[in-house]
Amino acid sequence: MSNQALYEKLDQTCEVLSTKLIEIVKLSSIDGADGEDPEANLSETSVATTGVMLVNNQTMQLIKRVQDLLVLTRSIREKWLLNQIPEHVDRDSESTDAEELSNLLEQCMQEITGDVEVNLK
Amino acid sequence: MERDSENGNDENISVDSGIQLALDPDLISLPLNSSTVTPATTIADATGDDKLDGQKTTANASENLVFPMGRRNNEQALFRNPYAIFKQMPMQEFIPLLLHQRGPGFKFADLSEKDLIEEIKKEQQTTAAEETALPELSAADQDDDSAMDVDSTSNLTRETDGSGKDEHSRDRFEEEEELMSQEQFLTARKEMVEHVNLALNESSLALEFLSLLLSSVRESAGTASMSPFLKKTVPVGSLNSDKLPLAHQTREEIVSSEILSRGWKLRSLNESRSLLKEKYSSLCKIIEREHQYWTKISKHTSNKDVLFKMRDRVNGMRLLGIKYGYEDSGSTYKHDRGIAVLRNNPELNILELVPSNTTETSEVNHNERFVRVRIFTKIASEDDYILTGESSVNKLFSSHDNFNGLEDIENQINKLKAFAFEQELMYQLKKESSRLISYGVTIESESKIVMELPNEKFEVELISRDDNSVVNHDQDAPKVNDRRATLMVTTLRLLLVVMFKKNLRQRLTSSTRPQSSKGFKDVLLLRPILGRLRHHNYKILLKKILRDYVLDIIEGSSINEFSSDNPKSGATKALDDNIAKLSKEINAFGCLLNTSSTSFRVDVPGKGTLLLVLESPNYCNAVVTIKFESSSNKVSFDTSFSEFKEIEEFLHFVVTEYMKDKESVKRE
Repeated sequence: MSNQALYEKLDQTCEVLSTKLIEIVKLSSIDGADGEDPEANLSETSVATTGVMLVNNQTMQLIKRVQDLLVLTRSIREKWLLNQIPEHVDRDSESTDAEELSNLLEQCMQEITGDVEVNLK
Repeated sequence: MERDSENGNDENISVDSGIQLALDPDLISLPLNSSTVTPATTIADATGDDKLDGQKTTANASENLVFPMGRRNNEQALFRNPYAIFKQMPMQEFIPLLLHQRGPGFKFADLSEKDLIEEIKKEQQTTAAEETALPELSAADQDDDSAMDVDSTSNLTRETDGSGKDEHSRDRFEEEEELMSQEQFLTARKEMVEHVNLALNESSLALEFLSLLLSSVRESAGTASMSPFLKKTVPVGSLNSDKLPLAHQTREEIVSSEILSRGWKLRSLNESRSLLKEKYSSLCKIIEREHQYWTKISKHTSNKDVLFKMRDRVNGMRLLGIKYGYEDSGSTYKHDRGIAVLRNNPELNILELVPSNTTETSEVNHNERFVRVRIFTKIASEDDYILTGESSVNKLFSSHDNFNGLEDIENQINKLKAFAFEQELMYQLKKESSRLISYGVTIESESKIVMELPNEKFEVELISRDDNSVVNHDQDAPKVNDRRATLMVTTLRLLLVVMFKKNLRQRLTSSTRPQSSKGFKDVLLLRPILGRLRHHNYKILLKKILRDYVLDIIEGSSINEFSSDNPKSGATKALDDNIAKLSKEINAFGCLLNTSSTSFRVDVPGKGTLLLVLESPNYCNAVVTIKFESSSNKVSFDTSFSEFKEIEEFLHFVVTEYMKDKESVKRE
């Protein structure tokens, strides 16, 4: 995911989060609609049930978005981890001198074989 | 009542006129007809028909048989049935026609039952003589109502008038009907009648319902309008009704419904609160875990590690893989690609490194093995070998310190790397050894290679770190050849690194993808060491031969030994910094990789020099080139040998022929 896409996702998620929160707050008002006409009374129960459903729905959406945010952070972390570029370490300093290495190796070989000579004699 | 009487009349008629009733199409299709016309007319028609047909039949059987057909399909009738036409004619048309037929001066009011009866009687008397008069009589005889009279009499008249009159009346009728075809008329009528019936049905149903409803209150009034069928099937007064007042919601009801809705709202809010709370805590835990995981990753992995995304093959979980194998460093080992998964262990809350082997899914321990070299020295007297050296165990392999270091990914990676390396080393060693059997190298088992030399035996073994001999290694007394063994193992590892480097260089330089395993030729691990050892032995042997055949015989002769390693010209054109670096690094191992060669120069004073070059072109064999130069710089011999026996013989020959004679002369 590109940075742009990540930003967009973040914005979208935040927006949805805030709208859902607003809706919940609106729904949570206890006095309901101020319509006092008799028809309102008839549908009082239906209003109540839909209210229950809506609150539940918005809550779930809220949670879902928060989870989305978590996923977002995870993908950002992955991006960070996987897009690291190894630093170019100047390894010349730590690399041993070829000459010296060669001498050491020769010594080593001599030691391996040299003992044989010793043993032989 | 009327109907009943009619029916009775009908029966009478049918009895009177014989059995023709069944043949009458009108009777057969009576239900249809009765639906199209009012009951009274139907009956009248029926009676008329009956009577007529009856008369007809008696008079003219053949004609009568044809009648029904002709009536049914009026349009294409074989002959016209004027009766049918008259029957279907409306009254206002029919009466003028009747008057016309009766002749001028005849009034419709004058037409009475009595007259008609008389007429019929008259006709009956003259039946034999005048057939045509017959129907008129009989028809008139049976007509009861005056309403019917018109119909039947007209029919009769028509019949009586004979064919000529009949023709005439029909023509007239057709003229009047020109505006509407017969069929159209029929369908229109049928339609109308259906509607009427429907309305009748509906209204009678309503009436029945109301009657039944009323019967419970005022029985007599109700039953009066009830149909007999309803009376029979439904008990009187079985339907009742009550008046329901339109209830207004009371204050209490409104209040209670409000309370209910508020309660629900509160409850739903409460539920959502607890849901949010629950999710919050679970998400918090997840965040905590994630955070720990990532801190550990950032702490323990560096940008030098090869990390990549992968998915769990079992449950498809998203995972981070880490590659510790040497594939990118030039390894061609395919059996263990060296991939591990970084996994968070939720129980111990630590980051685990789980190797995921593509080929071997065996237990982890199986892979925790390393290469060990043991040196056995031959005891000359007993013809047996004794262990004189064992390579030390690298700290990296020494196990059981991993409980502290388990969390340290770096440590784990290093360990995995080391074991992967060891496995590959053994794999390559075995590959090389398979071709070295003629030089005393045998693969003794899956994880053991034995290299035999005249006096010594080397065992290269891939050994588990849990092996007893490894675990107890620290307690072993140090041995003479421990250092040599360790050096040997180290050299083998270095040589594998050189192999990797060569592969890398090849990948970088050649555009074509190199074959994954070139096999024996590329593997140079044992051979440099074995070659060295063998070369050393050859050298000793050669020196011994020289001593025996030259130095000991010719006095004053001296021997100079110098190794003539001819370093390969490392001046390969460096296209790239990396390649140049690689080449440099590889060249540093030149003394190991290059085949050894040793020169001996034996100076025999006054006689010239003997130059011997001992070479091992394929590391393990020995080729000796002998050159003899006389003092006058004249090359006498330049031969190469691969058999030491031949060298002995040749040296003996040279010495006796070119050096010894003078020497012996001198000596003698």
